[in-house]
Amino acid sequence: MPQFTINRQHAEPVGASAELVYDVLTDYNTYGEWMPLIAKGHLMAREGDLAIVEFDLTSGAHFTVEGIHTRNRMVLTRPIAGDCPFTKMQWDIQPEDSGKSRVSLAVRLRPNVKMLPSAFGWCKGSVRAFTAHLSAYSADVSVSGPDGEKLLEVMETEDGLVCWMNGKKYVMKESQ
Amino acid sequence: MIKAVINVAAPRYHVYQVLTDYEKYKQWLPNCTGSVIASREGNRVDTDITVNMMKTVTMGLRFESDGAHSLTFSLLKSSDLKGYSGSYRLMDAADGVGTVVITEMDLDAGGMVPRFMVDRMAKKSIDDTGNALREYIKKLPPPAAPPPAAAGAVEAAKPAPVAARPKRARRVLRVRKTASGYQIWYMGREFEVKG
Repeated sequence: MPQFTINRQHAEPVGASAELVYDVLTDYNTYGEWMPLIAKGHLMAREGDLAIVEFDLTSGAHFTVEGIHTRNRMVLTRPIAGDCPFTKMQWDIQPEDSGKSRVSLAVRLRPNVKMLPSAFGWCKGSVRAFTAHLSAYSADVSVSGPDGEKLLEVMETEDGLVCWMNGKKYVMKESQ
Repeated sequence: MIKAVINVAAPRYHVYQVLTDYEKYKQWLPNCTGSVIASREGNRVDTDITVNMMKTVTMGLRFESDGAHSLTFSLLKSSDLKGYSGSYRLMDAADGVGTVVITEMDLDAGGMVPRFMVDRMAKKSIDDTGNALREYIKKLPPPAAPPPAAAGAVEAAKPAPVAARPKRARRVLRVRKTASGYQIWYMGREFEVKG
């Protein structure tokens, strides 16, 4: 019997390349930092274009999904087990001539009375939150520009936390 | 189709060995009271398995393995079930320890049993099987290095490795001085501090 679902879709241009968008969308361990209602994401396994991921919702619910990827084009997640609020969640990435891209998110939500108030805005909210999260990865090396003078910037890099202050770079060390 | 995922704290070849050691199923598979191999041809093995649930059910199951990557099973004969099929897919865990097992199962008990009841039974069965597999492997002695044939099967079954991608530099905090004051960007959110 077909399952009743609520379909939602939202698209927005993003100031990043398709490659960066794809990399961030397939970095499931960071979903808890930006996606509404998601408390934590944990990559269980990844082989080729398939990933198995566990998610915890802020409500305490827990579910597992399979992620199916088409490099720089599409990230599709479908539930495998647990209380997953959707039956399908698909991000499509469309590269644009400018080198930037456009993302669209389509979700098929399961009707859930508890989640319904937040579910309607979830799709749009997720795209907005993703765009904001993406801004953390944009390359911005200028010290001054039309947006003002950069006084301080802290970046998380392969070398650890790096700080730029007044145009000078410092590598930060953890203090015990 | 009912699905479940479990993480087993053992290397993939070890999990594969346990899943393909059909004659030992009665040692760990819930409600299994007998399992014999009827015939074997390459990676295809026909078995006769007896399970004792509400009643004793004997079924002919065919297992087909694809290296150490996946194992499928399908019903050959049964006087009680109309259909029973599924698969185990094995993936190396992302943390480098253990194996992620994705199990799928479809059970058809015939028209006399409502679908929702069958699905509920199948869900319980798949969860119990996963837990039993995990516990059984935990009790086994630590595996020695895989025999060359098994190691070869594991390697052959592995898809092309995913290239480790370099960690992208990610901004955590930025403070800018603008004409109207200070602009603070913190973890994707922007705040204005008026001068």
